[in-house]
Amino acid sequence: MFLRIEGLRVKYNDIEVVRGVDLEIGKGECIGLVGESGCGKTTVGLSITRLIPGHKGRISSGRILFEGKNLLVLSPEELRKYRGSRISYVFQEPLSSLNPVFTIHEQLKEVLPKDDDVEGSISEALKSVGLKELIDRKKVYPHELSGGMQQRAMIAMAIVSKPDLLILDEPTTALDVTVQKKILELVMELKKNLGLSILFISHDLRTVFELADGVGVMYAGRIVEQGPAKTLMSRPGHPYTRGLVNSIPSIEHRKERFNAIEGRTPLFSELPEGCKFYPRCKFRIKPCREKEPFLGKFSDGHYSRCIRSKELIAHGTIKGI
Amino acid sequence: MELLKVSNLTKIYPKHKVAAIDNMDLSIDKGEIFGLVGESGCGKSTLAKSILRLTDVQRGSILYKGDDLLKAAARKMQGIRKEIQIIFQDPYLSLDPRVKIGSALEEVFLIHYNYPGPKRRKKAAELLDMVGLGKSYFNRLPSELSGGEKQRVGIARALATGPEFIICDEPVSSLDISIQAQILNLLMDLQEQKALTYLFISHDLGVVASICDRVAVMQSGRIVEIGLCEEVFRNPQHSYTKKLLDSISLT
Amino acid sequence: MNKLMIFGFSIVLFFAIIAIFAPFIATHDPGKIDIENILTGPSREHLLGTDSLGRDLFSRMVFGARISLLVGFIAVGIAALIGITLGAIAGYYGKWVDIIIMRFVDIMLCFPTFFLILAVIALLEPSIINIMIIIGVTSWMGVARLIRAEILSLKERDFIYAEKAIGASDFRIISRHLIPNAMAPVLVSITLGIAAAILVESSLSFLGIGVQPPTPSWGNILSEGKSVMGAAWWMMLFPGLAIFITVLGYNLLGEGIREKLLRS
Repeated sequence: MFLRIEGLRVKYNDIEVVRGVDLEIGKGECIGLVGESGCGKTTVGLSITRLIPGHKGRISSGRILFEGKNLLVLSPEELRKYRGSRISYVFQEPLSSLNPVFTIHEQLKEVLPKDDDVEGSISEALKSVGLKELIDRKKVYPHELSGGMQQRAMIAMAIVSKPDLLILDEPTTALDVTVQKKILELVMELKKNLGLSILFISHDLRTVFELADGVGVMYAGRIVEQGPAKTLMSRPGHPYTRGLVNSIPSIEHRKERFNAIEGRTPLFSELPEGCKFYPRCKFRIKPCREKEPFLGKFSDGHYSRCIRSKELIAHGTIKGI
Repeated sequence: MELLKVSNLTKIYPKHKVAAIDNMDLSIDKGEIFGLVGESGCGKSTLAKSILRLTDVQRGSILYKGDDLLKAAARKMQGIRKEIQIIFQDPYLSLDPRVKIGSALEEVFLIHYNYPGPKRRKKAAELLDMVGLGKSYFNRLPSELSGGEKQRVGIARALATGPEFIICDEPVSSLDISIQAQILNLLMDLQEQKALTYLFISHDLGVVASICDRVAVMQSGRIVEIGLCEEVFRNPQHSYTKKLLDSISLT
Repeated sequence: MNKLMIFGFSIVLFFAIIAIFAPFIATHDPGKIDIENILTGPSREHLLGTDSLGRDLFSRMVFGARISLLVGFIAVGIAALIGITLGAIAGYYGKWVDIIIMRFVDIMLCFPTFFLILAVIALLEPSIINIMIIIGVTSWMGVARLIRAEILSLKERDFIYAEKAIGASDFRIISRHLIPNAMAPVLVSITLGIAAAILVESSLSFLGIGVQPPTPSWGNILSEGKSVMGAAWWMMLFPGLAIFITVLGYNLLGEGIREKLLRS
């Protein structure tokens, strides 16, 4: 396996926010990680490159195997060989992740090792993200670009060193819809042309379900369901996934109430006993309150953390349930 | 019946010399949910602020029940403010961080009706109930609430004066998807119970399709297409509408 | 709270308690002249010694704390009142109102404050009330600028639009929503301002145009001590120390608050 996360646990200020996550990404695969704000999905992404802010958080246990090598035990020097060059990260806000006092060119140059064909690589990266016009305009600063172009520049920085794994953390949330589409198309093109593996972290289910080969749904610091996008869309095994799918507004909707999930996400400091989704669940039964279910396998590559998954899968997403 | 009629409205930002709203005409009927979609900077939020007189415009008129809001005297406007309310995009920003939820709601009754303390508290508690929050929220600060709860407070505050017309300026775009569905449900229920009229501003076509009767598509300060939701989304006429619809699906 | 801030706060509290409970703490009547005990050094009877009229220095210092701190507080209170009002009006209304007020601030800042105070005191009678007013009226500009800057950014926030939308009056928006949210940096400025005001009062009294004897203030005790410096070291050391420690206390407290605010 290309990337494999095993039993990852992360604590912020002694409160566990990632409570044992297992995830696999194959070569050339795009895996989506969805969930609502505060579910721990970004922390999983940051753990891979060990970018968790050190004064607050720490990885308490688990392994992250990149081509068989555990990234969590590498020394800072060894880690640097992976960060940026083999694993790249694209953040949500393009303007705040670009340094405003350096030109796009200078920032691209910085990512590359000195001895490479720097100019060649830069031209190639800019060309592949659709910023051909910047190849000869070397004095362009981030603020001179539109939001979409800034995000393209960010992606150029992420791919210029020809990484194997690209982590996209809400890459299009700050952008307009028409621009979003172009960026996502670009990402998929890069995946195909460069054979990139992608971890796509987002709260936007619609996008993730369309792009990703496999999707993990996170709730309260754990994956509650995992499987091929199509299966999760049509036959979700977890009530949470089901609620999310029912909540996606689409243009086929016609003025009808949503079959929404009630209540709010629990704080990590006040997680309930048993199944963490229990208080909000429409399908809860008595045993749910006592023990948190394990991630059970229901078909090839489809896992769900619910004792009633079988019934739910058989039902499919029928309106009104 | 026509509730709001915007004619020839033009707003130019002097610094940029760009028209945020360019000679706009629009009319909204009583009891409908009217959607306004467009991308950032198209002028849709400027329209909302113009209707509430939170920003000045250069030209045009905004008739509410036949009265021109842009010409209304301060006293008259104070009365009209009871009837036109707004729900903001980001509930994190639209509540004073230092004022407790109960006081924020009571304030409305103090300003408009000068009710005595006990009556204010009773009214505020009723509002909290109406938006699905209990009395326990009375003494909490905004920072202790989740995004969805804050937006419920924002809605309660907008409802306090018993308005007929509510401008919803991207009311769900900063919320998580499950919370978004809850808030949309609440907005739909309230509209039905109280026969409200909404101007629903959003960049999300799915959200607009889910709740609106009619929709206008805005681009660079102009309305490029207007019609029933069903027709506009099924059979878009303008190239920009087509482009927006096209960007929803990736495949 | 960091250690320095606690230290500063303890000093401030210590002198505040002394000032408030002065009549109970003082061992003698601060005005009582005792010809037989002129300029005696610190002893069990006179803890800090006596002055050139035989008055008990400890008791005079205790009552002097009252005057010095009172002047500091009231002067800064006046400055804060003027600064917050003008700064808030300038920031909220903007346009020509802002231009007029801020140019006025600039003009006020151009005057060398201390000489302005000297000139005004020379014209008026140097009473405690006049001193407080004159220090207040010449030191509000910093507060005005701070409040204005905060309000400029706060007034564009959605919650202020929300207040306008529910029909809140300008007065209500400014007093209930803008000023409370803009107070944090002003608090620091006020704390530091008290230290500065105490220093100004001491300097004026030292020069003989501040608080007039026989009313004791740290400044005029120090001034009296100057003439007997060779014979009675305690007459300059103790009031000097009191001023130094108090000013240090307020400065540490102010810095502590600033740091706390920056972190949150």
